[in-house]
Formats: sequence, C-alpha cells, structure tokens
Amino acid sequence: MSNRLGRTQDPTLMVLTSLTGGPKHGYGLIRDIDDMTGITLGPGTLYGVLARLEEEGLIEALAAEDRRRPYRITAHGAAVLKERLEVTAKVARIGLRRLGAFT
Amino acid sequence: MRAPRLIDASLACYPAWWRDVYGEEIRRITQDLAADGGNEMRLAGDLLRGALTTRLRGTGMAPRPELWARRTRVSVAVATLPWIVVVPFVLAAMGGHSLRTLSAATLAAPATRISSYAFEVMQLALIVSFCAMAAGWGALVGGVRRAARPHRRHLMLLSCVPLASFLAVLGLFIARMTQLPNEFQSHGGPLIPLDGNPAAAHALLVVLWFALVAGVLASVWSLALVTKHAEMPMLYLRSGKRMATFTAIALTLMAVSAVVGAVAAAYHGYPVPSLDNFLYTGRYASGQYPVELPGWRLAGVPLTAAAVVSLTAWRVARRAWSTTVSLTD
Repeated sequence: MSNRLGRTQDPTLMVLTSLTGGPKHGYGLIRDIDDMTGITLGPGTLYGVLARLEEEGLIEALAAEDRRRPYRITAHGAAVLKERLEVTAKVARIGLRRLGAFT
Repeated sequence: MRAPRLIDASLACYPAWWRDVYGEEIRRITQDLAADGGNEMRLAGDLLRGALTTRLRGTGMAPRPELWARRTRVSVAVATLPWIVVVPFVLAAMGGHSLRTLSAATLAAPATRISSYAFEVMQLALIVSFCAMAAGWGALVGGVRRAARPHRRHLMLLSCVPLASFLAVLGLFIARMTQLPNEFQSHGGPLIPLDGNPAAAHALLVVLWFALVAGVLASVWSLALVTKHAEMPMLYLRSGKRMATFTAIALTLMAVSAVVGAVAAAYHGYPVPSLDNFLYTGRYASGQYPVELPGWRLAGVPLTAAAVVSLTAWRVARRAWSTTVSLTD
C-alpha cells in the first residue's frame, strides 16, 4: 500500500518537512525521508525539487563540506510549509473521521 | 570511487549550467546510494527523468539574459529542425500514384473525399512551410551576420549548408528530369522509351535520395551548431520564436492530415486529384482517374513524433523568450 500511495506523495512537502529537523545534504535528506515515509527519492527527483525550492527562496544552500552542500529551510519556507501542513492535517482529520463512520 | 558509466551518461544529459551547480553533489550522492546497494539502472533512470524535466522547465537556471537567450535559441532549433528531418519521409510517402477506373459511387464516397482533402492539406502545408523555412533561414543568416561572436565567419559558413544541400538536391532533380523518357513506343507489350536515358535517370534517382538524406543530416547538424553559438540580437531571436510557432502548427497540421488519411485509407479511400488539375489534363482516357497512393504510415509516424517534439520545444521557447525579455528590460 505504501508504494501505491508513494506515487501520489508530494516530494516537495517531504523535503521541506525533513529540513525542519535541521540542515541536511542530499544523501541525508534521502535517508531521512526514507525513515519518515518509507519512500526512497531518486537523486534526479530530489535535486529537481531542491533546485525549484532554492529558486523560490523556500530553502537555501550552505557552504559545501566535502563536495556536499547542506540545505536549510528559510523563514519563508517554514511559513509556506506550516500552511501546507495545516491544510493536509485538516484533510487527514476529516478523512479519518469519515473513514471511522464508514467502517 | 568512480561513478558507474550508466550514471555518468545520465548525468551528462543535464544542461551544462545545471551540472556546474549540482553536478559534483549529485555524483557524490549517486556514489553513496550505489554503495548502499542502490540499483544502478533505477538511479540512472531517475537521473534521466530529472535531466529531461530540467531541460523542459529550466528550473534553477541563473537569471542571466545570455543564458536565457541561448535557451530560447536552442528550443527554437529543437522546434524547427524536425521539419527538415521529416521532409524525406513526406516526399517518399507522397511519391506513388496509379491509374484506376473508379465508379461514381467510389468517387463520391466520404473516405475518398476525406482522403483527398487530407492529401491536399498535407501538400499545401509542406509547400507553405517550405517557403516559411526559407524565410526563417534568411532571418537566421541575418542574425548570424550581426551576431557578436569571435568566430562569426565559421558560423556564416555553417549556416549556408542548408542552401548548398538544397541546391545540390535541386540540381540532381533537374538532371534526372532531363534523362527521363518523354516518348514511348508500344507493340502491345511493355512500353519502349524512344528518348531519354532510363538507366541514367534511375542512377540519378538513387544519388538524389542519398544527397537528400545527407543534406538533411548536414543541415540539421550545422543549424543546431549555429543556433546554439550565434549570440544574435533580440530582433532575430523574436523571428526565431515566430518560426518555432509556425513550424509547430505546420507539423501538427501535416501529422493530423497523415492520421486522417491513414484512417480513410483503411476504408479504401484514396486521394483523387480534381480532373481540372493542370498536371493531369488530357493525359488519361475518360473513366480513368489518376489516384495518389500516399504511404500514410510512412509519413504519419515521423510526422506525429516531429509534431510532439516541435510543440513541446515551442512551449519551452515561448517561456524562455518571455524570461529573456523580462531579464533584458
């Protein structure tokens, strides 16, 4: 089931959520998202998301350490993520309540 | 540790500006993931998909006018060059015709009429787009002449390759026409030519097709190089964007005609030129009709692929152009 849902998950949300735990480089992000959701993002997918988030000012790259640049969520990124998570939480609450009535 | 070859090849598909920013990082990550037992094919596939998306969207590209102008030029080239590639297919597909005795019912059948219209539309789109491509080529040469590049002379020479190819093909076509027999003698058996040189005409036809294919490849290669490297003024870039729009529309029209024609052919509909067509006037006995036998599939498959590529690149060119304009202002 997790695999089927995985295709509908938004990698943007996963990356931003992972970065709320502190700055991470690409490999750290992949491992953290894997631990959180059981979904392993590919490097092409991850860097597509990172480039877009960086362009939109939601994250920023820090100085490189051993050919790896850690990324950090910005204040704007945190605000956008909070808004998204609140909507998602609301949908989840309603969905779970209706599922309870259904079963 | 060296990244596997497949992953290197996938990374090479990303644009150069992207590799400059993220190349080293992503190489390191793929090495780590491969060391963790990650499937190399899966990693390479994901990188390929990422490279395609990056090329289409331009995400993460620095807001520098020269970079976006180059992106506009490259996408205009990708939108227009498929036209040159499909020309031999369309010409080959439109070549055959024969004489048929057709009944009034067959002539009036919807499949025959639809097929005839599709054939006319394809011919018209080919001729009009040829004229537009010639005009676009003229604009490109003008742009290269005013381009700010140290090796402008080489680019000018390269931009003349399509004209040289066209003149070579035209010359071979005329030479073949002069060798084709015009008068025949018949003794109830096969027709015997009284003039011309059929063997030479046949040899010239083979050479003509080789020249056409070689000319197409050389033209595509030279124009791709020129559009990528010639930093031409904005005015010429706008002409290029218009050419991309026109080519995308023309290719789509031709692809739709080919598909409609193929469907009509499945219902035994063949294009019948109108009898007042000057090419056929007085040539055939009454009751017989010159029926075109186009290879709809031969034209349809490459035309559909070319139309998809051209439309996608046109969308990229449109967005790249508007970003270039906003950065330049």
